[in-house]
Order: sequence, then structure tokens, then C-alpha cells
Amino acid sequence: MIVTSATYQQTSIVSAELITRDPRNRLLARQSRIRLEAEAIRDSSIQSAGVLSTKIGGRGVYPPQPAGIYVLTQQKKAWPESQGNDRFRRGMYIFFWRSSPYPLMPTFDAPEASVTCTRRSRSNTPLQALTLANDRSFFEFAQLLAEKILQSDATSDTDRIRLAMQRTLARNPTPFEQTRLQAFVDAQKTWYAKNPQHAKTVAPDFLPANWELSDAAAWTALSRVLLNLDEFITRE
Amino acid sequence: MNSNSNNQQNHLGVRQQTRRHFFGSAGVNLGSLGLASLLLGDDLQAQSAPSTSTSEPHFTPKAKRVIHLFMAGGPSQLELFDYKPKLQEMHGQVIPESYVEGKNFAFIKKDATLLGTQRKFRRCGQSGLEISELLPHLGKHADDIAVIRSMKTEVFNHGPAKLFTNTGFQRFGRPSMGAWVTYGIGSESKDLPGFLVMHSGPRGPRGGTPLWGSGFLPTTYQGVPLLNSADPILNLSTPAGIESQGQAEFIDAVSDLNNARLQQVGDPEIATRIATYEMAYRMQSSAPELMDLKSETQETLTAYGITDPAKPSFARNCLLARRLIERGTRFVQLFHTDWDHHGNAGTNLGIPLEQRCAETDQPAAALIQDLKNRGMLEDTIVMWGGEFGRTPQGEPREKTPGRDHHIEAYSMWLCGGGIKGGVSVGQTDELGYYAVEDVVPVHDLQATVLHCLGLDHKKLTYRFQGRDYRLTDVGGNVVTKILA
Repeated sequence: MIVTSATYQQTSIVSAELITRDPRNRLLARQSRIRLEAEAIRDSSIQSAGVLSTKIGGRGVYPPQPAGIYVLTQQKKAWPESQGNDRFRRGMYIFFWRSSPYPLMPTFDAPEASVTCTRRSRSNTPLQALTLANDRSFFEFAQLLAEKILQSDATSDTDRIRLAMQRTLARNPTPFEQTRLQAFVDAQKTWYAKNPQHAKTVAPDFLPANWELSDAAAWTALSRVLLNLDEFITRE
Repeated sequence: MNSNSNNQQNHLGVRQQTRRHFFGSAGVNLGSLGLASLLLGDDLQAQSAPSTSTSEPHFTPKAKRVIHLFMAGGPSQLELFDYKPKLQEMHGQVIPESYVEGKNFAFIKKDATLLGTQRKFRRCGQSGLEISELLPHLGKHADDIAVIRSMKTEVFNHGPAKLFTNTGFQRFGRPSMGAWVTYGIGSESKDLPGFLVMHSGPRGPRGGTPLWGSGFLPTTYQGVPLLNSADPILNLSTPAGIESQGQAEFIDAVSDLNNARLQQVGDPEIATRIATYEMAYRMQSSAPELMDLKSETQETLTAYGITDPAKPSFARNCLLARRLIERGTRFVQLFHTDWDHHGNAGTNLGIPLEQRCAETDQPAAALIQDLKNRGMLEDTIVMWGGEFGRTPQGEPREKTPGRDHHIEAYSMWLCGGGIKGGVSVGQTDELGYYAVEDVVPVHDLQATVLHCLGLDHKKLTYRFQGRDYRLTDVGGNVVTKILA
């Protein structure tokens, strides 16, 4: 009933006047924008990359995490890094050590497992930016998304940008976005052409035959931009 | 603002975030974000002001920041700060039953015998504070510090006791002191987190991340571990193959697209997101710069006792703590582990205690002096202590002397902003078993630290699960005797 109501189906676009009069949307004159939960942010990235495992149940999984997690715990915990599809299970299956949870979780406000949680807060912090931008897992998702773009039928950059937008934001780019992203991808192509070693590291692992490494690396860079957008991690 | 809207806002930690980020109290610099302030406008600023916390102190503070030297394991007050002639006299006798009637201990039994200390104590400074020979460097600062000899806590196992000292509650889930403080008065750092945690010693402290967690407060306020690894902050380095130019172009592209979205949908949360990416980018250069001690003089390194600046140590962490507060960090916590001196080989009051003291005494004293030289001691609290103390009874597990966990009395010291130097507060009985005069429960210590920072511990609250919570739970009295 709620989700089919006209109130729920409103847009979350808000005028300056409305946000001044009702900053917290208590009068429900619009939909509220809500940042996704920790697990869902990761799930969305994996889904955009097209590799989300839909397996249900089973043992906890150990996706890659940065080094140094156990420096400040009494004991070094075992973290046998998962391989294959287990890297792409939904976030709710990630093994949870109470004294040092998978760092994505507390960074994006997942509650501690030892207390009841009546609501999750939704903070907006620089550590979240570092996680989405630099974490090894998220970079892998960007590479996998780039792989999907390169393997697609798209024949022009315009089409590839459109495809990338659809896979991440489920909409087509605005003219501004199209132009801005094209400029970005062009700059990356140029840079990686001059830095082939870097291009090799950044490009997806499985390239269609006709692709230059430097061009492929540029699409990883573009995928990384999209996976870092506020819109991508927000339920609009 | 009427009280009704106040109440409503108590539940809106999320929106408080928006507002906090805008006004820089969470450390995000919004100098370049004119758009954000335009969107917010003065009305919204007023309405968004959280009623339960303040980015201004409740009253004029004496201190602006805290460096907490946490000696994990429970350092023995009877070897370091609390000399008891009667205990020496009764060495080897079974403790009188009147002391231990109805008491439980972690390991020892009621028939344990009293253990006189083998350590000499000296009167130090003009104040004549009695401090152990094991802490010669601290002794030179006797007139700067206030020693509390009558600390008292509630739990005798390490994990819960550490949680209690740090969060005011013995189970997981409450915000830590550093989180409360940054929630209350924000941070002055534009390029680094407001609450940072460092570690030295053979292992991390029992209890783990909840010791510096934000509990039910927004995670903005959680302590950020500063690591000794290549990445001092998790995910600080760009992925392999992305150089600084590529990272700058990445941040620019993300910001431009976020900005376009902001103009379209008008949600100020997006402006905050843009600011967090800018700060993340700045942290990528500010954190390595912080960790690089090349700009420190040899004289400074020597004073702290740092032999190899690249090698992790308590001494290096003390110097990093000074560098952090110079950069505006509000709360720095240093954990140094392995003070749990029960009497086993490697964990006893002989050589292991001497080693812990040697590792920490000179750096802690150098920190006091360094802050003094830079005029920062007057508004920085330095606090030293563990989660509990050790029993007057010995725990001779092997042939080496040791003591069990003790919650009835232990010692800590504080100095700096708002704290009186050269005083001792509180006394224990003649055996050092019970704190008998001016007893300072943990909540009183917490209330006192908050007081020095200009925060009333009863007013620093956060509504969660239907009621207001505070660091000091339902306790806490400011220890006025140590206030300057």
C-alpha cells in the first residue's frame, strides 16, 4: 500500500523553497533521498558489474579487505580470502568479527552485532569516500564493469557511456554528463597511452581482442567514477 | 525554537550530519562550497542545529584537546604511584580476612599473601609527589601532573574493564570518550579525522574497535586507527595504476557530476558528499605528511627516545600525537599493551614491568615537555592510565613477582589544560587495598575530562532507543580537587 501510494511515488527533487520550509520532509511533499546501507552499496556495485552471486545461505564469505585490520585487536583473526563467486556474494554473507568487522560495514554505519539496532544512522564521511574510491574490492568491481562495457555491442564512446550509466544509475546521461564523461575518458586514454605499465594494471583482465590496453584502462577509470557517484549509492 | 521541534530533532542524527559537515565541525572544510551555504540559508542552519549536542562547548573550556595514553593490561599502582609502608611490613602474611570478605578475584584466592613492592619511591619536584624509581622521567614533571591514587572501577576482566573506562559501560555498544568529545565539540582539523587511535606493544588491546567506536552516535565520530603499515589510514592509497594526476581527475569528475546532480535535485547531502571526497583527497597527502618525521629535529627525536623514526614504538606514537594535535585533531588515543603483570615468565613485576616503564616513561615525559615548549600543554589534557590496577596480594604463578587484577583502587595521572600540577588526589588504606579518601570512580574521571573541555557531562546526551544516553551513564561528579 505504501509503495503504491502517490505520496511514495513522488520525485525526490526538491526546490530551494521546499527544503527551507520543510528540511526534514515531515510533510511528505516529496520523496526522501536515502543513502543505501553498507551491504546494499556493495551489492549494487557488484550488480552493476554483472557478477552478483544470487546464492542463498551457506557459510560466511571473506571478500578482500585492506591490510592492517587486525593490528589493533588482541588476536590476529583468520581471513581466508574468498575466491571465485564467493567474492561476489551479497554483503549480508560477509563474515562478521565483532572486535574488527569488515571495514566497509562500520564505515557505512552497519551496527555492531552486539547491540540491538532500532535504526541505522546514515553518515557521510571522508572515510566512505576513501573506501569507495580506493578499496581493492571496489576497484575490482570497476574493472568488471569496464569489462562488461568493452564486451558489449556498443560501437561508439557515446553508446558506451550510455550503457555504463544505465548499468549504474538506470538512466541515460544528461548532455552535460555525456560531455563531461567523454572528456574524462579521453583524458584517461591519453594518459594511459603514455603509461602502458599502468594501463596493464588498471585494464580489465579479459579484453575483447580489438582493444588497446590504454583504452580499456580508461573505461575502468570511468566505471570507477560512476560507482563513486552520490546518486549511485542513494535511493532517489 | 519550541520544545516540540527540539524533541523531534533529537532523533535526527542523520540531518545533524548534514549540518555538522556544513559548518566544519566534523572537520570537513567547506571553504569552496559556496553553493552549499546558499542552499542551506540561515533559517535552515538554525533549524538544523541539534539540540542535544553542540559544536560549541557548554561553557568556556580550559582544554581544547586530549591525548589519552592508555596503558592496557592494568599497570601496578603499587609499583609506580602508591607506596604503602604497612604493605612492606606485612609482606608474606595472608591478607586479613576483613579485606577480602565476599570478594572475588580474577585468579587469586582469599588466602593469597601480601606482596611488598621491590621498587623504591622518591619524592619528586617541589610538590614532593611520591613516584617510583621506575618512572624517572615522569618524576621530573611531578609539578606538572596530578596523580589520582583513588581510582575505582567496576569490572576486573580486561575487555569489559577497557570498555568501561572508554565508553562508561562494560558491554559493547556505547560511544567512546573520543566519539562523545568530537560529537560535542567537533574537530579543528581540516585534513585529518578528529579522533585518531594508535597502538604499540605486542598485540592490540582486548576489546578491539568498540573501545574507540561511535556506538549509537553517527560513525563520523568513531576513532580512526592510524596504522603503522604502508597505508596509515585504511584505503588511503589509490589503487595500483592510478597516479596522483589520475586521482585528481577522478575526484574532479566525481565532484562535477555530483554537483550537477545537486543542482538538479537540491539535496544538501550531495554537497556534503562532494566535501567528503575533497577531504579524502587532502587526507591522501596530509596523512603521509603526518607520518613522515623528517621535519623533526634530531633533538626532538632524542628527547622522545626515538632511535629509528621508521620503526613503530610508543615513543614514535607520542611524537605523532603531538603532530596530530598541532594539525587540529581533537582526541588522540595511544594504546600500549602488555601491562598485565600476573607473575608469569614474561608478564611479571620484574623485568617485564621495567621494560614497559622504559618504553613509556621517557616518551610520555617528553610529550609533556614538548607540549609545554610549544605552549600547547595549557590547553591539552594528557592522561595516563589503564583499565584497573593490581592487588596488594601477590600472585606468584612462577618464581617471579606478580599481582592480580584489582578494581578497588588504582592510580592514574593527568596534566595540562585545566588540571592542577603537583597534586595528588585520594588515598588508599594502609595496605593499598581500598580507595578510602576522595574516591574517583571511572565516571567521575570522564566527567572531569569533559568538564575541562567545557562540556557538562549531564548535558552531553544523545537520544537512542527512547532515552537520552551520556558517557557517564547515571554517575559522574567532576573531581574539583585536580582542577587548576
